[in-house]
Amino acid sequence: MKKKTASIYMMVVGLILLSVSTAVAQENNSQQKLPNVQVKDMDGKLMNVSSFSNGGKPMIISFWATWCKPCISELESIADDYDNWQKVAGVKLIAISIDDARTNGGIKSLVSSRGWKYEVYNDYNKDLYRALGIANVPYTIVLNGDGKVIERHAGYNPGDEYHLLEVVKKIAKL
Amino acid sequence: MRRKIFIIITIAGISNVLQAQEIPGKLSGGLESNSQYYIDDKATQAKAPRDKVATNSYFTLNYTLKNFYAGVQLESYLSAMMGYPEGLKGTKLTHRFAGYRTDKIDITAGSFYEQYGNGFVFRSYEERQLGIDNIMDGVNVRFTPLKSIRFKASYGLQRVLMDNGEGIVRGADLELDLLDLLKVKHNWGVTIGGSVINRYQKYTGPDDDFPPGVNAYSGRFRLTHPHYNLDMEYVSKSADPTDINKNIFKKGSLLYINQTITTNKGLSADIVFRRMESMEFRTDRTQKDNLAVLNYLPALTKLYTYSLPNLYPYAAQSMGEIGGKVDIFYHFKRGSALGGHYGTKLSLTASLYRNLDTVRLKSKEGFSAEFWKLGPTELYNDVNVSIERRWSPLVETIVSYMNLRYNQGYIQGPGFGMVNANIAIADVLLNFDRKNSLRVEMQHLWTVADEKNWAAALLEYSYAPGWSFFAGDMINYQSKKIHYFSAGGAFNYKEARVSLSYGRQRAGLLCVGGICRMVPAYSGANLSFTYNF
Repeated sequence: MKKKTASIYMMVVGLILLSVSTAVAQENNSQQKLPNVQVKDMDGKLMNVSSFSNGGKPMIISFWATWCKPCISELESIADDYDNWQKVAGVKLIAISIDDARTNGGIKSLVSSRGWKYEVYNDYNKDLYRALGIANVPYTIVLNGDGKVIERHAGYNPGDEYHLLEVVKKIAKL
Repeated sequence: MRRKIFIIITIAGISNVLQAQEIPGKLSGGLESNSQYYIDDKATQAKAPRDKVATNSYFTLNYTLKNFYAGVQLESYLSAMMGYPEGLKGTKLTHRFAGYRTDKIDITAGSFYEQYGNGFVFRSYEERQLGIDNIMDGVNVRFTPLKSIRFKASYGLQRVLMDNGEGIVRGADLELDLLDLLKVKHNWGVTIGGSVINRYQKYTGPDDDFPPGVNAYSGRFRLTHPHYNLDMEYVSKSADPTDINKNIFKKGSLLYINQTITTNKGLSADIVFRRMESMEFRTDRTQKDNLAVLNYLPALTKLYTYSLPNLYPYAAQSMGEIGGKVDIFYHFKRGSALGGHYGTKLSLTASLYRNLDTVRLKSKEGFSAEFWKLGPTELYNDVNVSIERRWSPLVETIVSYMNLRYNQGYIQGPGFGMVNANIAIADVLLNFDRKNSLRVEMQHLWTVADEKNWAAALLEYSYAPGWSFFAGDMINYQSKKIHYFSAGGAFNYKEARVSLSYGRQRAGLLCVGGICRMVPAYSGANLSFTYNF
């Protein structure tokens, strides 16, 4: 009898632990947000990355450099259709260049001549790049409306932009 | 039965408790691993080392909890890949740091990266491909009482190979946005800034006047406007005798002026000028190459991504150099006569660098040079025209032509002369459909110097999302007639990337971001893996 009570007691404790821990674990499993790191805007002013927002709509963070050919191909192919992307999914693309002092003087002129409508920043000593553990550009991160990381993608192959648009559309509907 | 249920629930409970005890806060980081397998190659005279397998690995782990952050990096060179500095060996936890960060203050204890201004007096950074990691070990503070006042102070030792070097570094930097501070509303912005940095390294030699401490000061001025940016920096550095400069007591200086002009009409330009003398700055005066370097002096020339122009890459001459670069971009709009249906992008670049007009002195100073005068020796000069055009949804092309003059003797050492080369490049991308594409690259270099003419071709096929394959060859067909072939493939899946290739690497200067290192010839296979979280 005593044994039985003890085991029921244990089961109850077990169940409570299970439910509590599941709740905590769920909270912990929440996706990552961008770290609290600063990058420079085109006027050289510092901007905190954790303050990036798009009014509850999805965002794409694209790491690139002026000397990186596939990066420019990716941003060019999205630029061709960017108006449509904004219309369909309300998405905003933030292009973060990792150019250092050698080439970062040329970011503004390159972006301007290509007519890109992206928000552009310079991660001039790779603080953000490093905080995210990125090894190479191009590198793309998709965030949902709450600023949580939904997908990451290393590299660029022509055609990857269609997949990216699908992901963004999916998030926008949720 | 009941016992079974009990056990199941208990196990479920325990496993969930373990999960619940998962530390709060966020973890992020990444793994990068590069391996090579070497073979002997008679054609290029590349010899495999005794250990035919080499692997360089980097694992980083960052942790943040509200305002607190911490991290580590583990590096392994087992064995180090060919061409990396000899002292990179073994396995070690090379970075470890903890810090506290709010909008106003950021304090890091332990390993930290920092850059003052454009990095001409101080930049600690990592460039794994070059084996450079001059991270600092000490304390770094960034204080931002107002958005328009930014202050930094740093001190510590610098990493040299697998340990800390012996030179002590301390410095501070201040930047002010003047118009914002004076609350003047304007679409112009004016920023002034300044840095001071000191390096101390014990000196035990016989010279009583020898400076164990070296100071560098920098002043900066920046003007910003939606259509115009001006960025100027002047640096002065105290005498810093080293073995490399033959122990002269020459003060250093650097002037940098960068201007960017943009228009709404698709035309923009970037013009940069730099003059420097005796600007080499290390935490350890006995080191050479890319070791123990405290400041960042990249070559300010166009960074070419094709292989043949990179046979002759300019490297900045920190002892004395004067010159600049002009970049002009123009976008012929869609629908215009020259723009076609999709628009055409034109880019023009020219750069010119010469040495300084120096006079040898018998005093300890070693030499003197007139400030505003080009020296007699041409170091580097290039002119490049590049046109990028999309013809249809199927076809995109980039065509480039360039002429370069490269003083190989001055840059790479005695035994070489001046190289005058012309290069033509055609790069065609065929997008067959949303998944399949093929890129074809053809290059030719004409020169009568060095290894004479070169030809190169590359095919790259990609299947989105994820797969890509390439095969390429490069040959100096008038001289040694060596095929530098390579072939391989890569697979990307979300945050993971694996690539495998096989081929021949030519001995020469490998440059990333304008900083170069010499790499030996090798042949073999290369396997890389990157992942982050």
